[in-house]
Amino acid sequence: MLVAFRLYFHMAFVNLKNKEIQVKIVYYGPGRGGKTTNLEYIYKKFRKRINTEMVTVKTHGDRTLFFDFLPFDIGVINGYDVKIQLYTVPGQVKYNATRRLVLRGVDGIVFVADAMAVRREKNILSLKNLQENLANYKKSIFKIPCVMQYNKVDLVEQGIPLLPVEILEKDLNNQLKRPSFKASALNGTNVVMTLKKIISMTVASIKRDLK
Amino acid sequence: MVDTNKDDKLDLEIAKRLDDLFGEGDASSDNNRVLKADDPTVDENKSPDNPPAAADDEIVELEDTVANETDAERTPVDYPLSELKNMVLSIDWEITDEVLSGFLSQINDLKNVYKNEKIILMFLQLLGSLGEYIKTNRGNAHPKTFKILNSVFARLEDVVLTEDMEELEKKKLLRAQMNKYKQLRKQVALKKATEGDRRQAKPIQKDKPHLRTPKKKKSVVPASKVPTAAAEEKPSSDSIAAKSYDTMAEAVEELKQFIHTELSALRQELKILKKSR
Repeated sequence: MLVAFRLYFHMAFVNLKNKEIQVKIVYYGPGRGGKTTNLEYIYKKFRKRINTEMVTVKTHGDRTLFFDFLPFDIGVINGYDVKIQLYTVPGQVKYNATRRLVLRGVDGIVFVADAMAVRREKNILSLKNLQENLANYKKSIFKIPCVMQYNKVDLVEQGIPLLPVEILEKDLNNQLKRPSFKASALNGTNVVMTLKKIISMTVASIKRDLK
Repeated sequence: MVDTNKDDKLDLEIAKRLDDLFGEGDASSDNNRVLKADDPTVDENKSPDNPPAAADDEIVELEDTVANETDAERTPVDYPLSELKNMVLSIDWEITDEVLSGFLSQINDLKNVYKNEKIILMFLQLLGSLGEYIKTNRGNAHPKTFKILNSVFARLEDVVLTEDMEELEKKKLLRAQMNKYKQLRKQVALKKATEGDRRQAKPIQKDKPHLRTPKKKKSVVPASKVPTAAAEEKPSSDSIAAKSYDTMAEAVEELKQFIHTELSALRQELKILKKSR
């Protein structure tokens, strides 16, 4: 008897026997953009409530080597126990194979762009890379639930040149037209809002596919 | 047929559940922060009642970061460390000759600016020593170096930018950073000594990991390879606790090294296998 399956389009893991849905959300973006910092903030701030452990493997230079992993349970919704799994990918260009692996079975994406002016090109390249890697799994960046996060906005107060939101939107979100947030993962600004948004969008998307 | 009432109920249920889990200060401070694609100009300020979980210090050992709670009071105009901060952030991103030279040059410039302020000078010397160490060792620098660099810089900012900070408080901040720096020196020396032992010992099994308690021994590292501070202090009284922490940190580092080595070997084997097909 079939008790567990992955939905054809979104690949959410649905276990009919245990009435459980696993939702995989991946934080994607250029290296040093703040993907891990997003998860660290969530973990530090809410770990008592979400009652979980964060797994992270870093390189010598404190960079993400494989991925960060933060699972937590949001409880029973519509009779199903909904489990959220947050992942980050290594941002460095050379780890594309790992990025592809992490994207396997992804249900929702948070694209963490670096708002520093000097990172403009890296953001665009990373978004293209995301599109290519999703295509590898026959998924479209235009269809998968996705939230854009423009990180490091706090640096403007330090005199660090940042990209205006208009430019970021034009570069990254002109066609996608996804919800976007200015954020500071370091300070926690809009980290939770980003998370809530992507979870809502992804669960709604899975729900539509389940019908 | 789609049951819209049921859909709405479900959406509400999800929203409520997420509020329960991630509510508190964040929910209130983050309200209405969603930018629609056609309305990207909404500005957001940092929430004063939403500190970066500073109370929880168990995950990230160094809460000190380049940006901190006093950022809101700073402006580019009256911010004397702006260029140095840019360099610190750049080092965090990539280590190049240009960045490191710029960093060290900034340190020298600031030393002239603050030549009459002893504590600030000491902070700058610390940063300079760390910069020189990174320049020598590049990507092989101890991973904690970058965190400590950020930490020292963050405290320097506090000292420079907090007008009414008392001398005693400044000294306290400096001492804390000096201690971190000294710990780093010890760990660098220990790591080098361990590597030296490995080279001398005949391996029984190639690349076999061997986690061991570091013995107290004389450093075999040349002085130039270890970051040196201008000022030295006596070891703190809680050195026992620090040692056990260091041992654990060292063990984790070794384990990481092992994983990296194993992965490299596996990649090589995969390449050979692919070629042989």
